[in-house]
Amino acid sequence: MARMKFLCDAERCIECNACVTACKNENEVPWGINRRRVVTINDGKPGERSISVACMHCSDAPCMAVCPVDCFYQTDDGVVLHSKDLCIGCGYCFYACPFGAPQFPQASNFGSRGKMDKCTFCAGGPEKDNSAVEFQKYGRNRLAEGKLPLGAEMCATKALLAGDGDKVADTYRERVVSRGFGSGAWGWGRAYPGQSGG
Amino acid sequence: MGHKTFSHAKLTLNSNQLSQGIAGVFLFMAAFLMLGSLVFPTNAKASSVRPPANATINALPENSSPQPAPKATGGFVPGNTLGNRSQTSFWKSVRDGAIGTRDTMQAFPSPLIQSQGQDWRYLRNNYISRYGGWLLIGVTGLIALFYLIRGRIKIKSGRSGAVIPRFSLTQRVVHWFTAVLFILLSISGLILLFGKHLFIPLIGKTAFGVVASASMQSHNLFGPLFIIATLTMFFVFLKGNGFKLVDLKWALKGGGFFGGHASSHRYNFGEKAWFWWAIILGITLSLSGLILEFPWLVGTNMWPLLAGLAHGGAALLMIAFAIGHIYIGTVGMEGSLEGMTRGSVDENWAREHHDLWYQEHNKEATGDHPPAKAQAATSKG
Amino acid sequence: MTFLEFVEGPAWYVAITIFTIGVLWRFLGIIAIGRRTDMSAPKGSASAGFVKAIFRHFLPRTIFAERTRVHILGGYSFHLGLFILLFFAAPHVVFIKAHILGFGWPALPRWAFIIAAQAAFAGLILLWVRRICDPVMRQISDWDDHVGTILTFLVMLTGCLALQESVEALRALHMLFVNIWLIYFPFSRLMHAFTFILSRGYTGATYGHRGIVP
Repeated sequence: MARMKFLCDAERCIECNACVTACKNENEVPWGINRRRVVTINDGKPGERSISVACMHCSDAPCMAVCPVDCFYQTDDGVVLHSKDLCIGCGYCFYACPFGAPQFPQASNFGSRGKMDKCTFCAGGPEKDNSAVEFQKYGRNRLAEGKLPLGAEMCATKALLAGDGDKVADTYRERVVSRGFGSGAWGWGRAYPGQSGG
Repeated sequence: MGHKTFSHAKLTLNSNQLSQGIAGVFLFMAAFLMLGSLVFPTNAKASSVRPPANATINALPENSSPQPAPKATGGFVPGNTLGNRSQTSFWKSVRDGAIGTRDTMQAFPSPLIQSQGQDWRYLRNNYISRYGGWLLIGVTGLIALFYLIRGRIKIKSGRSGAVIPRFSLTQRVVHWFTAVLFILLSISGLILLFGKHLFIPLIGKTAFGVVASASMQSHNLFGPLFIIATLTMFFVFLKGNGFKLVDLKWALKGGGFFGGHASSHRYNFGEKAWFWWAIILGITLSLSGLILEFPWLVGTNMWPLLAGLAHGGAALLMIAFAIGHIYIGTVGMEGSLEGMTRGSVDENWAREHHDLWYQEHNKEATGDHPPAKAQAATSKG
Repeated sequence: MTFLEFVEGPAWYVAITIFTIGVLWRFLGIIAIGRRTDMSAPKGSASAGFVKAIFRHFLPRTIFAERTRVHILGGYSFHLGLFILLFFAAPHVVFIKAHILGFGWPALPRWAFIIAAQAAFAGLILLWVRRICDPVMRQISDWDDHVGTILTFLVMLTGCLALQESVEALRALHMLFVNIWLIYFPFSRLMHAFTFILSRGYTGATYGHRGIVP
């Protein structure tokens, strides 16, 4: 089985937010939630970099480790998914996540956060693949349709790569070689420790 | 047919009006443009879409031959696309949680990586839930062992039948009010902390999801009430809970739990320790709980993390002590529970466990003889 | 039929019918007993006394205010909180619209509803604890008082457990206790929610007739 991974090439991201919009539209994410965000460091200064970030689907996922109801599970592809039926909206996954991926639909007064929502690698949830219930709760299951996450597919500069980790790593390696610099794939050291590539 | 002709005529009339209107608009626009050309005469020349000859352009000259790619020298990298250095310090700052900007909606500042969550996970899973669990099991085990060895502590000289007042109605009401909330909060809190390991293997994830949802909602609702309870308890029980020298002696004698007699005033060292333990931990729980329930109070993500750890740790320490408190207040000692239910205790119990308080009470009572059958229960709060 | 459909369907209609008929029966029954005829010449209006007493007794008598401060604090906190959360909590408004009246009204925001619920819980626990701790209260309480308190507490507790509004089982549990509570209501002291008008009014009318402000 392929190990699915995200990679955002900081040398290519132009902060167009197309991935954010594409994701929101494809998955019909509720108002107030963005599963993906583009963060710009040193905005407006020399050497500014933008990075598109969402759930990185970590190998040893912190959200999974701290969830009090154990609502997370990792698929054979390495995608970290969760069950909204089990989620109690405690927000622990948000505290533990290094990438700020878990999102909550409500403002938090008296702990009323609602069910957690996060990037699913366009792989839906525990419900039947491509069912209406699955779409309503988790968005499109593109992986079941043989497609990759839309945010990456839509990326105009091909900064955001998604797919089989080995292939993503090969693509990035080629880029690094031809560019001659910028070999640190953002976030990989944290998300996929002890693995080659990037 | 006649009808059609009529409508056609009307249409013609209408288009006539329309064309007149359009002509009027054009006339107005033409007049405006003419006026504009009079006021801004240079505009007339700006008709070409081509850049002016002196414009800076970034396209390569058409006939230039491709130049050899520049080599990376002295840490500089070629290209100059997004700065020309591979900035290790930059990526280090990102790893350390550099705050970026973002154009989409955000509640909090946007770090790319927040590593504190890793520490939080480590401390919570490896220290609080593990050692906290062992702490509760250990305390329960020790108390069970103590019960097996020492048994229920009886009133040695038997009940005298005469009682003296110990806790006022207000004190009792506040105590049980706090106790009810404490039990509701402990149960729901422990379910959230340990339920994953204890109940999921037993009842499955779906059923536990229901229990956990109920636990969290009730925990969040009762939490703020516990703050009021803790503060009220502080003021209602403060008197007589200051530490004195006799408390040190009491502690050194082991409180008389293992034989021997340890004198004490109205509250002994154990009771005083529990009072301050409950108040200090109660305030810790209150403050950290408020941060967890209202994260916008503090803004950044750092505070809820610390609050989460403090809340769990303080709760476990408090529950551990509470197990002992509940034991000695009920099965562990004869005659102690009625002080908190009826408000009065047996004279012999008072003499055996709180001799100094008993003597003071006798001095205060009329004459030198002990107050027989004092109607403690009817004293108002 | 799921359990939720049962407790929100047939069981709910049975419960609300028993509640309505029972309350009317007891209320009208008390009215039917009537007032003892007072042959004396009226020195004031009995009707005015009836109305005055109902409102006058919302305020504590100053001579008792000190002695009954827990009672007043708990009583008002519980009853006001319960009233607000019963009629202005968003899920309740939706239920009233769907199952009872057919129309709704603006609901409170969630935080205000929670604060009302907290006030109600604090009041109920306080009153119950006092009922047990105060020797006089314990003497004059019987099993009906405790059952009424426990049932009300369970209705509120299960409602609080269902606050996430996502788990069917918890909603059903809440509805189950609501139904039990509704059936128990007319046959118990919970009737004071309606009969306080008559008891206060009776006293007020008697004294009003004698020309005394009750």
